[in-house]
Parts: sequence; structure tokens; C-alpha cells
Amino acid sequence: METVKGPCRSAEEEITDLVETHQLALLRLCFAYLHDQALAEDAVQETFLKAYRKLDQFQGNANVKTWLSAIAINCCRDMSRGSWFRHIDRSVSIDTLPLRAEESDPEKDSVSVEVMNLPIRLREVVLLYYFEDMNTNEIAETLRISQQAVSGRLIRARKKLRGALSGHERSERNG
Amino acid sequence: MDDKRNMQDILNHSLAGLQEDPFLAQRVIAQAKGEKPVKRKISLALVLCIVSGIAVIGTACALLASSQVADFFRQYWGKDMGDWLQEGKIAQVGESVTAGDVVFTLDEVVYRDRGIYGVGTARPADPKNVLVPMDLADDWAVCSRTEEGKALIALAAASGGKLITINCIPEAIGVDEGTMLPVNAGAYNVRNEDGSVTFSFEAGGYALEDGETYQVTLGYETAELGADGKQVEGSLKLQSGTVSFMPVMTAEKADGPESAAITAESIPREDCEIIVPDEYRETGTIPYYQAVANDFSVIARPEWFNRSEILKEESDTGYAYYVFNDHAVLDVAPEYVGYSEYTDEPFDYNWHAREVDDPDLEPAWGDKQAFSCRIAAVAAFVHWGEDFAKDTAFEKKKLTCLSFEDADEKAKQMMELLRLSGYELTWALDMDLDRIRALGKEYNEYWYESGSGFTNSPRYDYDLATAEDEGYYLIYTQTSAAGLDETQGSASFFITSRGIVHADVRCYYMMGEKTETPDSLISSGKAVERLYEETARSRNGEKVVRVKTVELTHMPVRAENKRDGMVFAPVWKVTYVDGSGEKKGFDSWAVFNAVNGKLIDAIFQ
Repeated sequence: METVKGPCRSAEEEITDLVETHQLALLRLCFAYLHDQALAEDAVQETFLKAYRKLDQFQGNANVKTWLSAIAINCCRDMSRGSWFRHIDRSVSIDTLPLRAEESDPEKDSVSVEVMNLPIRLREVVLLYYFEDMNTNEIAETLRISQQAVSGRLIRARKKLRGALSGHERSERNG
Repeated sequence: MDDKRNMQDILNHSLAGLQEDPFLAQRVIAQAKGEKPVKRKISLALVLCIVSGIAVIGTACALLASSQVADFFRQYWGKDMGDWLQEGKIAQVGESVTAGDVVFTLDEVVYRDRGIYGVGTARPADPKNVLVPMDLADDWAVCSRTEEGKALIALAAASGGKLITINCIPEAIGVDEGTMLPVNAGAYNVRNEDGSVTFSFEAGGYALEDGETYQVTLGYETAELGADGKQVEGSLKLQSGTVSFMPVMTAEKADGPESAAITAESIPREDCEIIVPDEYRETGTIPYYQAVANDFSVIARPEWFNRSEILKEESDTGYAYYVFNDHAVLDVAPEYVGYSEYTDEPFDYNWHAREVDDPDLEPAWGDKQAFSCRIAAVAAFVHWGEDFAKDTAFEKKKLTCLSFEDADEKAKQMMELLRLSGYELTWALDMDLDRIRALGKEYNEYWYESGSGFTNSPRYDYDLATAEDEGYYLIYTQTSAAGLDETQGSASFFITSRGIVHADVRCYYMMGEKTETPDSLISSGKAVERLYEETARSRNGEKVVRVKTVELTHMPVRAENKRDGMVFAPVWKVTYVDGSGEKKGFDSWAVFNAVNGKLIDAIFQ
């Protein structure tokens, strides 16, 4: 298991390592949640700031990635509560995904868009369960909801995503 | 596990365009060590200043005239937004109001392109008290759930003061001392290190137009939070105050290059439907009418809706709230009448939130909405155009115990009593037993099961409906005026064999006497040209893909001399499709004054 503090390392060295290792994954998580690159970057910065301030409290009982993801998702939750965030139509489409160098796979992008356009309560459990590899207990603790609620939301999300995922699976098989 | 890997692979592929920030660790460390918190975009701006001497001089000059509003919006909403605001008209205000143990000072306001943007500071009147931005304490997640909230609760406990949540948002806006119009606004608040809260707001659209002075009625909200982070019952205090200011230009405004590129020739010739009244076909113009502010509070009588006698009544100037003996409720405001049936059964309006979100959430008791009220909500939901109901259309002119003609007659009688004229039936749905059951099932799936929607309203089993629950949902619209939410009148009724069991009636202005008639109006083609110009110069406007309809109608606007109140002016309402609408299947709209071509309101405002 990855741990946060080595025996002789300063907090600055620790946080620098964490940023280097986890920045990109957290940025993707926050973008998938917030649908806005600038907000996602702010959320990631806030996540590492909170992590830096809590380095001493981190017991190493949890996986570092899980710990950071939990902080990040709660930063995203805080940001999404802003009235302006709610006011703006933040639904995403394939065209609004960040530009990339390599060729895009429309089938994959369409599944991603389906996930990102899930209602926020379903989106957060899907991102934590599938993308961050958390179990339902960890998600329940992170989101401060019951495990039963997490399971219920995952079932609902799978039901909603069935069309998108089956389309992707079909194309994988045909390909 | 394969599912998880698949999903990780898919999202990683789609989000591969996101780039790491090489300076992030440095910035986090600097901020943690107590340097003033800086947001990512500000940091980039500072880096640019350091590496370029010319840029330093330029920025220094700009900073001398730097707008507080521009700086705040730049920090939280991006550099482009801040720069754009810096080029607006700026007013230093500095007016303070004490509301609910908090001193609110509106520091600065910027006006640009029919939008008002403000920043101010809220400070506790008693320094022991701790202020909490309202965003940290909304209904969805009480203060105690966030790290920042927890710290503030602890701070208040340590200081022995109260924990007070605050918000400040524009309620109405006037221009050049003209009619104050209600406004849709957004607000965002941030707590500062010194314990004050910076509040900010943004408002735009219909209520705003170019002028010299602006009057803004601000609503100040304060409420005390308990040690559990929840709002103390009865502590919510609302107060309003109006501020007047004259913003002036302080920086050169840069017009976008696309503004100059719009000419009549450059606009694609396309087929669109042009809708004009007969009077315009004959004379080439249509008149202005008086716009008489409506006041249902002096018109509406409770006995028109319910004869079970009044159990409880609360009223104030312009407002009335009646609870009848059968628990139905009538709510009357100057521009609104709402009527719904309730039962005498106590109902917990937090039930669903507790089930899916927070097992510790306390009950919020109220009378349970009646079955008729929920069936009306199902019908209204169909009108919103949800997918599950897209093929639902009016079918039956006769239900088991009621005919469409009888329902229409009852609705018209009520509208006559309410003195509504010019309202035409624009949508109708027959809710027979089969439809109540089928749509009710879809409705439950949407709100309670799929996670698509969320509500704490009571869940009914629509299979239990009987013939007496059947009815017609009818919507009448003030078709003589343009279709903007803020101004257009509408009357929705759910009518069963028992009569009107649900009503939602809105009318801001009644059309009065004809006043003057302009010699000529701008053409529909010119209105389309204006649409292209305005979308090109707007920060939020997307490219016009095609224009669908151009309709000559009326809309209430301030009179040319703003102190003369409101008039129904001739307007062109242009309905079009933009880039997003093309992909997602929705229409956009803009309304232009048909006499002078000025933009009155638009979806991109």
C-alpha cells in the first residue's frame, strides 16, 4: 500500500510527490464531476491544499488515492453547491471534451459523455466506484450517506447507463 | 473488476486532453504557508507580468483603475470575465445597510451589456459573531457537512458568538428612476480571512437596459445556525433596500472583430416563418398599449375556489394566504394566484432526502399534498416535454364524469372573474384513468427511482386512481404578448368533475388602452440582422444556425420616458436554433423593440 509519510521526508517533499503522482487522475475526476476545466483545476488545487494541511492526520489506514479522491469529490461537491454552478447548463457533449492530441474513439467518448451527464447524485457514486475503484463502504464514508443509498444509486446509474454501455460493448465485439 | 477497468479506460481516453500543471505543487505549498490565497488563473497572470517588462507596465496602469468587481469575477469566474467587466461602466457605491446583526456594504457595481455585476462586504455587527456564506448552508448540505463549515462552527463556539449565514441578491432593478422590474440573479459569497464575507451578484436580461442611473433593490438574508450547523427555526430574517448609482466608463471597451463583420449581405438567406397581426399587413405598423400592473390581491376572492369556509387566513399588503376547512390552500400575490388541494394527514417533506442522502435528517412536517395535486403535477410534467411523455397528446373530449367543453367553460369563467383578457387555450391534456396510471408510473420512476429527478413530494400509487380523479389539464396563454417568463401571462388549471382542483395563474401586466401608433416599424429582416449582430457581440451568444420564426407581437417594457411607467410596445420575437440547440434539440430566442431595434431580452443575456 502506498503511504504518505516516509521517515525523513519533509511535508513539502511529500506533497510534491503526491501532486506529481495523482494530479492528472484527480483532474480527470474533477472534470468529470464539474464539466469545467478551470473549476476542475481549482478543485484539484484545493484538494492538495487540504491534503497538505492534513498530512499529519493521515494515518495510512486508507489508500492514498482513495484519501485524495475523497477530498477531491467533496471539493467538487462544495463547488457545485454554488448557486451560479446550478444556474449554468453544464451538460457535456463530445464536442466539449478537452482537446487531445491522439485520435478520438467516438464510442468511448459517447459513454464518457453519458457518465458525465448522469444526475449529480448518480454521477458521484459512479465516478468513485468505477473510476476511483472505491468500494461501497468507502463511497458511503466519503459522501456521508448510507451504504444502502450507495448501492441503490449504483443500481439506478447502471440502469441509466445500460444503453450507453451496451452500445460500447456491441462496438467492441464487432470491432 | 473488468467493468471498472473498462470504465477507467473509457474516461481516461475521453479526458486525455487534460494537462498537468507543472507549478501546482509550488503553489499549494506557498498557499499553505500563509501566502494570500490565489487562484490558478491569477497566478498565471502574475507569472506573465514577471517575465515581461512591458506587461508589468501595462498591468500596473490597469491596476490603478482596477475594478473590485472585475478582480473578484476574474478570480472566481476566469480572466476573460474579469477583463470583460473591467471594460464596463463602473460605480463605486459604498452604501451600508444593517440587517439581522450584519452590516452589508455594497462596494462596487459594474454595468455592461444589459448586465449588472456587484461586489460588497458583509461584516458582523458584533465581532464575536461568525459569518457563514449562504452557499455553505443551503438546504442540500448543511454547514456541518463541510470542512470549512465545521471550522466555522468551532470558531463560533470558541468566541461565544452566533453563527450567522448571510446572502445578498438583487430582487428588482430600475433604470433612470423608471419602473422597478423583478430580476433573475445569481449570487456567490466567499468568507475572508478577517471574518468578513465578500458577497457578489450578477443580474441581467429583461429588467435591464442602457441608461444613466440604475436602481437596484437588494434582498439581504440572514439566519442563525445552531451548533449542529442547521438553521435555527424562526431565525431567518429578510430585509430589502434600494441603492441608486451612476456607473461611468473607466477603460476603453474593445469591440469584438465579429461585431463589425455583420452586414445584411453576410446573413444567410433562409426560409423562416414570419408571423404578423392583420393590422400590420394592412398598415405596416401596430400601436403601443398601456401596460396596467395587475393586482390579484384586490381581485381574487377565496370563495371562487373553495366553499368549505376559511380555516386560517394570513394577509399583508398585496398578499393573502388562505387555508380552507378541507385543507386546500389559496395563495394570492399581485401577479399570481395558486390553488392546490391538501389533506389533513401530516407529511414529512424530508422523507426522500433522508432515505437517499442523510439518515439523520430531521422531519419537515406539513399537510400532505392531495392526490389531485399530484395528478396535476404529472400532467404539468408532460407539458415540460419529458422524454417518457413525448408522444402523449390530447385524445378524449369526454371523460367518465366530465366533458372537455365543461372544463374549458369552468376555466374561462374563472379567468373572467380574475379579469384576464386575451388568454387563449394553448395546451390541453385529457387525464383519463389509463393515462393517469401510465404516466403516473413513469413519473414515479423519474422522480423516485431512476435518480433523474429528486423530490420530497408525496409518492402516490397512481394505479389507485378512480373515475373521480379524471380531469383536464388546460393551459391558457396571454398570446397578445411575447413569450417571456417574466412578463407573459399564463393560466394553468386541473379540472375534474368537482371543479377546479388546481390552479396556477400568472399575470404581471394587463393590456390597457391603445396609446400612440408609430409611423413605421423595423422589418422582420432587420430584426434577424439584429439577432446576428447581438449574438456576435455577446459573451454568451452562440452562432445562429438557422432562424425559425420571426413574430411581431407586444411586450411590456418601460416607456421611453422611464418615469411614465410601462407600455406594451411592438416587438419582434425571433426564435432560432444555435449550435447547442442543434445538437440537443432546443430553440433559442431574442426579442427586439420593433420601433428602434433595441434588444429587449434574449436567451444569451
